[in-house]
Amino acid sequence: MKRISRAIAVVATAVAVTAGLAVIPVTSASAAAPAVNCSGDARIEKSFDNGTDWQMCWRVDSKHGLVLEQVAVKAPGEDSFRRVLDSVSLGQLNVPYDTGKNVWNDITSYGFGNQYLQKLSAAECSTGTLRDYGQAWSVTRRGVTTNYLRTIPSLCITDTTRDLSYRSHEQTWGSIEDKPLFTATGQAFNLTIVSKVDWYEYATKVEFTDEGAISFNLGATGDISYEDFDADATTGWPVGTDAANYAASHWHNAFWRLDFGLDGQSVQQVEQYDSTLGEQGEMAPLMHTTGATIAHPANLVPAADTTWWRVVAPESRNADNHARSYEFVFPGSQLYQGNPITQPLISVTNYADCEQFASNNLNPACPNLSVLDYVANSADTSLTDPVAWVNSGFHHVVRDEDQSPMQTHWQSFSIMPRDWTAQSMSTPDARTCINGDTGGEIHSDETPCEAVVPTDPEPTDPPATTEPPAPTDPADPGTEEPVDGGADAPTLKLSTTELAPGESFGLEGAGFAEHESVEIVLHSDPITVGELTADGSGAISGTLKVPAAAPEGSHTVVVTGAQSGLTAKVAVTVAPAAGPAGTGAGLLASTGTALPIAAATVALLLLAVGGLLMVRRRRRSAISPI
Amino acid sequence: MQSPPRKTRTRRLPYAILGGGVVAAAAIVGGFLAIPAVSGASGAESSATEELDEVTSKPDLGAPRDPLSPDELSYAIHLASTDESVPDDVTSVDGSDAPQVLSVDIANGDVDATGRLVDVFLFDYTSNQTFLQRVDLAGGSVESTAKAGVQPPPTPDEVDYAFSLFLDDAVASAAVRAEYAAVTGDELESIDQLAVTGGAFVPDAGTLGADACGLDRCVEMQFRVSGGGYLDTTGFVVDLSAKSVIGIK
Repeated sequence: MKRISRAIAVVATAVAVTAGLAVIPVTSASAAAPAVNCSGDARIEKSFDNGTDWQMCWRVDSKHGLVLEQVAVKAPGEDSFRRVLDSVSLGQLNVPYDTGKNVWNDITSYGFGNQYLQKLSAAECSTGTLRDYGQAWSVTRRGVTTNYLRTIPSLCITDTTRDLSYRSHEQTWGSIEDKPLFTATGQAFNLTIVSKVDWYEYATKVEFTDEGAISFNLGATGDISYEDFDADATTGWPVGTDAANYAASHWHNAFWRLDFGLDGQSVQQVEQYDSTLGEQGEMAPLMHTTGATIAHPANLVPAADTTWWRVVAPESRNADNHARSYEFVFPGSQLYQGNPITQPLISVTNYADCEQFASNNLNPACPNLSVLDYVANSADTSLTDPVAWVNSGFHHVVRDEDQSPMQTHWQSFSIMPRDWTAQSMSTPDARTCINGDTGGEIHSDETPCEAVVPTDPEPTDPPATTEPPAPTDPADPGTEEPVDGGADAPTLKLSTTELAPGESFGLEGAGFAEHESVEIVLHSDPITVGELTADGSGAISGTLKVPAAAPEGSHTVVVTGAQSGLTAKVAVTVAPAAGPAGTGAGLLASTGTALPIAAATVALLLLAVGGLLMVRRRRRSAISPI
Repeated sequence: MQSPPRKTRTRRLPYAILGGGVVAAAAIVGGFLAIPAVSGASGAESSATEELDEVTSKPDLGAPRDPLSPDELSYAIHLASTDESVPDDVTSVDGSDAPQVLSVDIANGDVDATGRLVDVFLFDYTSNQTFLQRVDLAGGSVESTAKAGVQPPPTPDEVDYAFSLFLDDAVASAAVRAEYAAVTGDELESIDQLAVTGGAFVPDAGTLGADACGLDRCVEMQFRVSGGGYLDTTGFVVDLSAKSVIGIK
């Protein structure tokens, strides 16, 4: 599990906690919180450590297989759930063979539920929990119908984690000094059923992350049908000794039916974005990304590999006044060109009760229709209640390794929130102040988080281009970089940066106003160390004593000119008088008011401060010195 | 609205008469559901197969999107089958006087609907029509839509019947019988000797010989020899409406 400790002064703790609770502002008015009208084991609820919650209902339809309904997410700090999907399930699994001899439609001709739904063993849900679902069938003989039911463990709910959910190291670029590190192991859970249709066994898996994303995965395993060793060198692949038999290549064209219900809004739109190269810029051509609303039901084909789409609820705004949306993410989907139905990547239609399957529709009110028919029959209507038929295709060219059993191969895509929240759902407390152009530096080791404009005593026009910061010299940690890089900024140098309470140290500085009084303060909890007076050239020099009350840990010595307001600073560590402390618990000492952390160039020598100072905050977000 | 149960559909026959079909269907289902041993498998148990009581009055109802209880399932089938939308001359796959029950699911409609809505698919072999009966268990009402030429997946019951038709057709089944005999050394005489799956067969432009399946209810089947491979079943489908085996190409 992740460490997550951050040492802060006890006094500061309450402030930090308060700030944490206030992280995500209450958002604008939206539809009422959606109900979840299922109960008991039919309901799935999940709370992640970062404060993100999911809820939904699940069931296994005789044809669609796994159906998730009323899928809603609650972002950290929000009061209630917001609907993402009214429902999602498979809408077809079309399997044409490259030999031209077979085409299967596994959802509409067989189905993923009832007798095709597999009982899962505890071993194949080894880290998850199983839930039961029923298989029902009826037998009619001589006018009498008898109905049967049995329940089998068939849904596996598994928790997963992913390292490097995010990472931000507040190290000065080019420096090798360790600084506070923000990183986290993300959490997710997935729901999986397995359906066996003849030789193939299909895993339907939907995963939900603590950052609001949902991935849709179809895994195919089982065995190669022996009937399908009827291919040649171009329609198959030699499997088995030499080239005696070619196993037929084939497609798994999985259609997912996503019925969007973003935030319960009555108006949702689909937008397509394309990026084009424009005029030559200073260093590279400009690239312009522009969006267009898909006004009517349509079959969507990517114009380029930079094309992307989202479903947006224009009236649902996040705290930044941006419309909430979910964006499609395709890691690579193969589109079978042998059938018009599988040529689009996405077909978008308005919700219609009878439109349940991407082809061979089984509802008598829309008999045998396909997505192409749905689009054609409603092409004049406005698209406001979108159902996305996503074609997640995979061309399976069989390998030797596909036997036996066949290694599970996955075909996937996902949807991820775009502007659902004003910041990432996994934003750690100390980064909650970062929203938009901060105009300055990130002060995450301050409590609470602050974004601070760098001190700039003599405002000048900002440079036209951003220069990378000059590498600091680790051999000379006592020399401070100018705060704003300006030539006139004061400088400061200490005789040592490893201080001890009661010990004396030398201090030299320059660049202050003539004869002004300069105050020396130890931060973060400000402790005045002393005062010096600048000479006629603005230089200061003297010997000062570290206050006995200075707590152990990392601090900053800040000198401030009383008249000019000019400041300079040097990061120091305060160790016990007996000498440098051991590695201890690796805690950061409190630092006080906002100071540009980027200016601190001294390694954070970590001192044992003790468990009392450890504040366990979000369990999974970590700030830890490295 | 709910109509009184029809005598012909609720009549209980002697148990012995029912037995054959039930056992055969159960064998099919059992074959489908056989779970191979998994290393370390333990703890996950299925329930025993339950024969549902006939339920003709409203049972306790679950939440709108909950799985159907046994009583709800049985009641939904009762309402769907006895609704006035079902033709008087309805027949099931064996030609007897009852609709063929294909599937029962929570309704695939508005997920926020507050009723206890169930989709029951029925097939009428007389009119060759598929019925989608959206049943409101709370109110006892049925909203019915029907269409010929729509073919949901066949049930084990129908696959069982299709197999019988196939095996009884000495000419059509000759090749499969011969293959079975060559593989096993035994005569193929019963569905119990094979694991049988069946899918809805919908003809496409590339299939020759199965035009009738545009409207008739046709099944294509896969036969797996116990512990071994599959028999070649690619050359035929069974037309359950016409009670015949059709050669296809």
